[in-house]
Amino acid sequence: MSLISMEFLLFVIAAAAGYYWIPKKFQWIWLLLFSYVYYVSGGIKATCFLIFTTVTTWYAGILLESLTQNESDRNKRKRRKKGVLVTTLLLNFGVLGVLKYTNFALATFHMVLGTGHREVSLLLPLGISFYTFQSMGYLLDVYWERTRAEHHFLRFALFVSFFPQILQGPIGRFDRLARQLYESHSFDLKRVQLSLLRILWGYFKKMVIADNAVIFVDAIFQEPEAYSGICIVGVLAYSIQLYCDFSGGMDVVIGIAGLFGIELDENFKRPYFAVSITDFWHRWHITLGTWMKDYVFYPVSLSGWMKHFSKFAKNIFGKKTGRVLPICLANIVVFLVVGVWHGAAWKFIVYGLYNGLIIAFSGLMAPQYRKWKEALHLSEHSVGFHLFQIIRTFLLVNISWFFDRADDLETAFRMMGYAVTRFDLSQIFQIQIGEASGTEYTMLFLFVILAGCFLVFLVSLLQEQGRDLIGFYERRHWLVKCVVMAGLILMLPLLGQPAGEAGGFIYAQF
Amino acid sequence: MRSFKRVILSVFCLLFILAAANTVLNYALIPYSYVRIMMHQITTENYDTVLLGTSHGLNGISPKILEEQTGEKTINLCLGGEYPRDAYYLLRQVCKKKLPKKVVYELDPGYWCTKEGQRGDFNRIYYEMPWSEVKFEYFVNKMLKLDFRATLFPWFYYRGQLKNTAKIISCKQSKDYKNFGVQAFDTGGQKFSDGFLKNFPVSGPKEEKDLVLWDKKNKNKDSFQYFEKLATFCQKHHVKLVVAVLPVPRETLQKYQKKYQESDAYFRTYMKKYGIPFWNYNHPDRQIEDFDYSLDAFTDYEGHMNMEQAEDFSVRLAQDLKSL
Repeated sequence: MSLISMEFLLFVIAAAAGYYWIPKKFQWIWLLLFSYVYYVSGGIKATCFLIFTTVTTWYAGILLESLTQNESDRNKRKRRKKGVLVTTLLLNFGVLGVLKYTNFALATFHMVLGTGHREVSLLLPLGISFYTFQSMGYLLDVYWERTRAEHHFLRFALFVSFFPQILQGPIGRFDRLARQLYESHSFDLKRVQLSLLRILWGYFKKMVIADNAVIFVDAIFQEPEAYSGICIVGVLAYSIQLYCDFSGGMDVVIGIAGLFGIELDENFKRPYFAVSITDFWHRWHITLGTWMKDYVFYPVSLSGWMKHFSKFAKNIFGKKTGRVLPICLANIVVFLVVGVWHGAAWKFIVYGLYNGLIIAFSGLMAPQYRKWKEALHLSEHSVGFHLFQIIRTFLLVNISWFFDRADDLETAFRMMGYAVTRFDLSQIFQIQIGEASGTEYTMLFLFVILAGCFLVFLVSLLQEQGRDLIGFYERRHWLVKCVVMAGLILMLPLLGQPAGEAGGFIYAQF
Repeated sequence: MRSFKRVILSVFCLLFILAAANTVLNYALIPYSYVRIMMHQITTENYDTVLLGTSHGLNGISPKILEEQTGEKTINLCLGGEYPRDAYYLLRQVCKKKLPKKVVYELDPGYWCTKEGQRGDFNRIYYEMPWSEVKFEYFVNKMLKLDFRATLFPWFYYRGQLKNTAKIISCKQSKDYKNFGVQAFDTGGQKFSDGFLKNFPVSGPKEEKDLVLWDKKNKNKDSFQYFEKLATFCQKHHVKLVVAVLPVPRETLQKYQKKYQESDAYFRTYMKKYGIPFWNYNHPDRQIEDFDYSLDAFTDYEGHMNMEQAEDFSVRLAQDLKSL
């Protein structure tokens, strides 16, 4: 069920209306029912995988808790808990790995051997990456005794399957999400109004900006030779598309959850205002970043072999560098996993490594940077330096988008080359857009993208400055609010591209 | 209480703005279409033979000639972008008035191996269909799965008509429009008359870009499912169903011989399974004698016939229908 389909719209209306109509103690059951209806509508086979993850994680959580409470022998307890954890992690990540990466592994294997192969047809359940990560996060929290296990199977099933977020996140944390899912909620008019506004804002970003930008992105990335003079436009358009598509989707998802009184974690915090790649990952896909930090970075950095490595590094490179090196290595490991999470292809692995290496390099060079800044009398707080950092980060991020969007590594490097060696802006007007698939509307839609970006930029800038935009909106006269809502709604069909031409949300394919 | 009143007022105001904008934009942007005439005809008149299918059928079969030759009242409901799902609901709508004796389904294999598109003309059937349980069913089984803008804002797919607004409004205010006339469809290259879309001959090189060949790997399950529904419906109501593949240029057949042979073999077997007559006018056993299969008689490689060619073909189709 696509997030932009009529059936989804009616589905949400029915779910929200019923949610406040039924007795409050049944609200969570209502959500569970709708979550499963939503998932089953995507296919029964896919639902089996969801149930598998739910059952194994739920049971493992209870087992871990019972071992913590009942096993008195410390060593035995530790060993048995580890056994349960590793088995469940292997089972669930194993399923994800087999379904998502088998063809990639086979292709790589045959490439090394120089033999031909046929792709294996495997089902990839919708949102499997998201719900697997969410469930495994819960399991690790129970293992580390950060949270108590959920004993009620159906309640746990709701935590794994909550329908607004199952397709493209945000990846929820049990301690923050579960409580909200299970408690009852009264109808709050103000909250519903703001949630609706957030949904509309999300659709605006997706339909008006991202879906127009994708036409330019696809044209340029599918035929880089023909559009070699505007590869730089292609990657900029992709940075716009990806941000508006993903953050727009998050706005829709968070808005829908808000209709039920549930506050999901934010996934974006104006990422293109980031001053470094580290800062960028604190603002982009935040829930994946924090998941990686908590469940990969810390365990890797605090592992026994990393401690050995730290000792070794300190002996060789000195105390300071020796302390930073293990962190750098852990960052590289984290971003390697991020890259693999993004897809089964070498370009994603390079994408992850690129980010990891920049962060590792920045960590190693931090003392040197400080010295240079002092020598050049650069103030951290000056507007000029701040702007320089933002532009530098934006450029570095855009380089990574070449790996993310290009068909393969070779094309990505070729396009990077074109971006700096060829420039012919007139090629942009050869791109066909609009109903008649001609170029007569190319200029108009370019303007729509730019105007939309300006609006998003303005809102982001005001938010970045800490202005209370929601409060400002709420204080307006009801008629003004009506006109704003109507304007946003009418812009979706007036300026957006049809879904058939633009496709669905990018992150709904993970 | 004051707050509640304000909410009601806000919601009412919002809906009013949207409804007003929708009404104005629907009127100003959605051009007159022959689908409106078709809907008017099937809700006001009775038909013995109903033609369903795609743009090939719309350009290639004259219901007037069929009527003259067979003596049976005929209507051509073929449309560009009409998938078996649309055809099924169109037939259901026809049957609300009277059950026909025969249904000819014009088969373009491309519609059985591609996804249903989301252009304006593809949604025209829903937009023009009168309110009924058939329309509701059609909504549930088709429109629900589409982009919500297609249903809520019918003008969505016609934004490009902004520059033609004056023309569209003047057309909708004309007597011709009010009387379901056809003058508006005489565009120079085509005209809608005698119940089908007549193509004038095209000079110069002909296009191939819209040609979609049969590809068994990409079967559209919905197309098969709805065709089977259509076949079952006909069988249940004792309506004779015939499937016809219309002639395509010899040049296309030669260039893509293998694909056309595969398609013929596949659909011949498939129709045989359901006991449905399958007339492929490109197959040697049904090729028409003295019929011009050269590209000159068509407007493109896809096989949209010129009007004279279409009339010639309609004579032959009528003969075959009589012998049924």
